[in-house]
Amino acid sequence: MKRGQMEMVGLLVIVILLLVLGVIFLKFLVAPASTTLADSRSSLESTRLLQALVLTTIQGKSFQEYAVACSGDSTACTVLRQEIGTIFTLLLKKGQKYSFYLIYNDQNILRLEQCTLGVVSSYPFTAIGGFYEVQLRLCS
Amino acid sequence: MTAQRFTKQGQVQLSETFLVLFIIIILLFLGLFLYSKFFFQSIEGRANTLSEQDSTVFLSKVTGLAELRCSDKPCLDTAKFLPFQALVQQQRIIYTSLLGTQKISVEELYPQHTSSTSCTPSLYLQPAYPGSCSKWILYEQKPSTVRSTQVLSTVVSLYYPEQDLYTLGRLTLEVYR
Repeated sequence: MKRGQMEMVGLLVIVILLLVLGVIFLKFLVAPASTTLADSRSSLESTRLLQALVLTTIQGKSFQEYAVACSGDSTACTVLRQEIGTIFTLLLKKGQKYSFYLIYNDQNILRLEQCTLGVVSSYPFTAIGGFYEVQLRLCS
Repeated sequence: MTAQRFTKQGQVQLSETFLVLFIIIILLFLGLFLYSKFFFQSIEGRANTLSEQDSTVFLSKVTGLAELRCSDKPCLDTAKFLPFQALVQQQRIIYTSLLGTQKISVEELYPQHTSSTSCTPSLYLQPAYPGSCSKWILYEQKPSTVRSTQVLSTVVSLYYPEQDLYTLGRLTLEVYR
């Protein structure tokens, strides 16, 4: 092999080494952070929140009593709507967008909608013979 | 004359070879350094994820402790908080082995309180209770040196059996490492 050819091979080896280094660097640099745990925690957190919310006493009456009243007469939802807004402001992170739904017999009887995309959690409960469900969507 | 020229040429070639070898060794070391840096970073990240998972499981365990939870509903019984504090003081060795080095606290968030006073047995006996205080430090055990603290919290329902009242609070776990 002539001297010029050998030098070319040497240069090629260095270029290949540089490329390999670059690929390794890029691989680690652009590796996406895992969101599975964060999503699971978010889902668990909102389920717990709903579970706790259903038990809560709001201005001397239970949430379930409000839900029953709200399913019969939509004007009875005003206090509940207002208090749920306050509760989420106090319990969720500052600036966290959410959507909350209270469902009775597959009908939305109370809706507080701030966003449409996110992890949804639901918690069903019964009150005075009826089947209710609360849903919370936490958006990122 | 010819022999001298060849010696000089040989010296130049030797220098070139050394230079190339030097560059290759530098590149290899750089590669090893970068690889080890990212490798240790990923191990650290994995350790953090595992410890967060561990703490999340522990958070569920705390909300399920018979000493704190309500008997029939998914909530924490506030009437059990002060006795639990006393119990931890009495049986510190048992609870330290069970709960480890961390701080477990509960704060009532709804209805809103103007001040976040810690609840004590004397405040509990006042007629203004539960409005007079909103915070309980259920357990605290610090290690001799704290390298880092991991904070995890969850929303809990707080039950006041005296008034048959359910409020909303946040259970916070500060894990010392």
